[in-house]
Amino acid sequence: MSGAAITAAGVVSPLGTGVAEFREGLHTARCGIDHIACFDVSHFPTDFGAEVRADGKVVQMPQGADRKAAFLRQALQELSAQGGLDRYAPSVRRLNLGAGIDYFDFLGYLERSAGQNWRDFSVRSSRVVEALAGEFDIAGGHLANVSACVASTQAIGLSMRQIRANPGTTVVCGGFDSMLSHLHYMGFYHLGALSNWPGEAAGACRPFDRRRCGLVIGEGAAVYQLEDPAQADPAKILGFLSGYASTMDAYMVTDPDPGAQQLANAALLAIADAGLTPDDIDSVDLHGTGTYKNALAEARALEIVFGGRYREIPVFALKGQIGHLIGGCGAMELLGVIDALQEQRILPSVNCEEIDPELPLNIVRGEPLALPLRHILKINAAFGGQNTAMVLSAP
Amino acid sequence: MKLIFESYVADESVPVAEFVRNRKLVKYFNRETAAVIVAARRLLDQVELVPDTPFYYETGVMEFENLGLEAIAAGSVDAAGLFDQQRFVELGTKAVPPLTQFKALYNMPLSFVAIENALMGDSAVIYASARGLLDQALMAPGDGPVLLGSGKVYADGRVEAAFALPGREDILRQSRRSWEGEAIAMFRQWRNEEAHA
Repeated sequence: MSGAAITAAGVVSPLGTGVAEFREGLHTARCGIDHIACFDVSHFPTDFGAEVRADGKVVQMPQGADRKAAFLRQALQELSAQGGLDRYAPSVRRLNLGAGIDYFDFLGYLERSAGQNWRDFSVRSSRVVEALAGEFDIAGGHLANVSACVASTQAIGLSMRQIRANPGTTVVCGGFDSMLSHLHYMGFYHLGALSNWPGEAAGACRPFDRRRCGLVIGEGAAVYQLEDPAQADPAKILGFLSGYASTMDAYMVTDPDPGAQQLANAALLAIADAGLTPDDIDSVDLHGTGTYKNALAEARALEIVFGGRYREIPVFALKGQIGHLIGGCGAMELLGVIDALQEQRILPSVNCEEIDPELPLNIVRGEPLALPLRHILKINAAFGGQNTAMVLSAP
Repeated sequence: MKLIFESYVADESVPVAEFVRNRKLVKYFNRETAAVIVAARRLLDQVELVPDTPFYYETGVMEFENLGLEAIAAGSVDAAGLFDQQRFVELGTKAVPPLTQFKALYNMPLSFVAIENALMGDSAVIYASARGLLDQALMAPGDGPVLLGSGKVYADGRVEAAFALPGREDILRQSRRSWEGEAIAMFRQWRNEEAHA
């Protein structure tokens, strides 16, 4: 295996806090989407959100707290407690994280801004990463990738490349985000991106369903430790990251390229990077935002990658359960892929009740699908036209 | 190493309309993106890139542009100056056009440069770190040159943008140096070193 071994994980999510609670939520098809309770959304035209929970309750923080920074620290604590970092000197530990837009304390700005710069009310993601690198004794370098919805997958892909180039090092990577605050949430609303589902909150995000009607903002953090497969403790290997690639549509900033050539190219390059062919891929974890155009582009990309097999290969998406974590989405979804590889079955994609006839895909629905899973392709795409693909392989 | 460095003072107009191929895009640009489009065009007019050239961009912390924050704030308070949730929703957030959202997303400068120049290769947007930009570039796929860019809007309204097309040896050499802080300062130093070479 020429990629990287994933040997530890930490997660804070809308399905629960900690890897065990997250996986239990996946296995029971729990939905992390509800009406927002972590800040006042009265008068908002829509109020769906996938908020971080612990023991089933939405995590509350004081006004002015950067939720995503707190989530990241907690996820890193879970990962660090597994002891794998201790096998490497601080100088050969790296931290690469995807992040969203800086937190901005809008209410604090309104209450106390006299004489102060608006910047004083924001929390810079790069500073959060720097501070936590220090706190967790990670001294070999750190960076914050801010490529919107592919920020975390780009950070993970870079980390795999660094492990390949420097096998004696270890990299902690993943993503963290929370757009559940006044300005960020309403900004997404005004972009026309948010779900306007008229029914129950749990049905608000409907990837690939005929009635899909937009995305639901989520929040949380997911982090992984990557090591050279030859140096990793075999008993701790959760899975392998065996291929990665990224491309750009160079089409429009508002819409994905409906021809999806570059999204398909990212997938083909990642598969080749893993030393595989499309026939080796057993399943695909899609970006699946729940928006109309994303689904069409992903279906077209699969047709390019798999030819006639694109109607048969089982595919799934997690955003119906965990929402869209933007700067951290791919990282959190990766845990669902690892779960599928470990359990050798694909869990159903929630809320895909009536498949859009324009999307002739084999979306796993209703019941889990058990099958031999060696390699799963994972694709993500960002507002602006950046695409990523990675191949995850069973331990 | 080919290098372009652009700098505009606070009230100076960035002549992006002269450099953008699709003028309909200009309405999406903040000052950083406008300056970046100019810098990229000036560099790429001198060279021919294959579409899959890796392209990495570092965005500096935006110190000046607040993207209509004062207007949103003014529309979100009552007569006593206290926050009013209903006014925030119905007036405050409508005080800026929806297109403003594009100006707030950190990957827009890279995305617009890619669209304008048909760049489809490996990419990343790194936040406020010269070291991070070089670390990313060191791991670029392939053996060809890498397109590196950076943009920064300063507290005094100044905007700077820079682009370079280093080869692998250039990146390796630069990565051995102790670059701290944001990438725009690194590009400025490269420019000064070239001027004195």
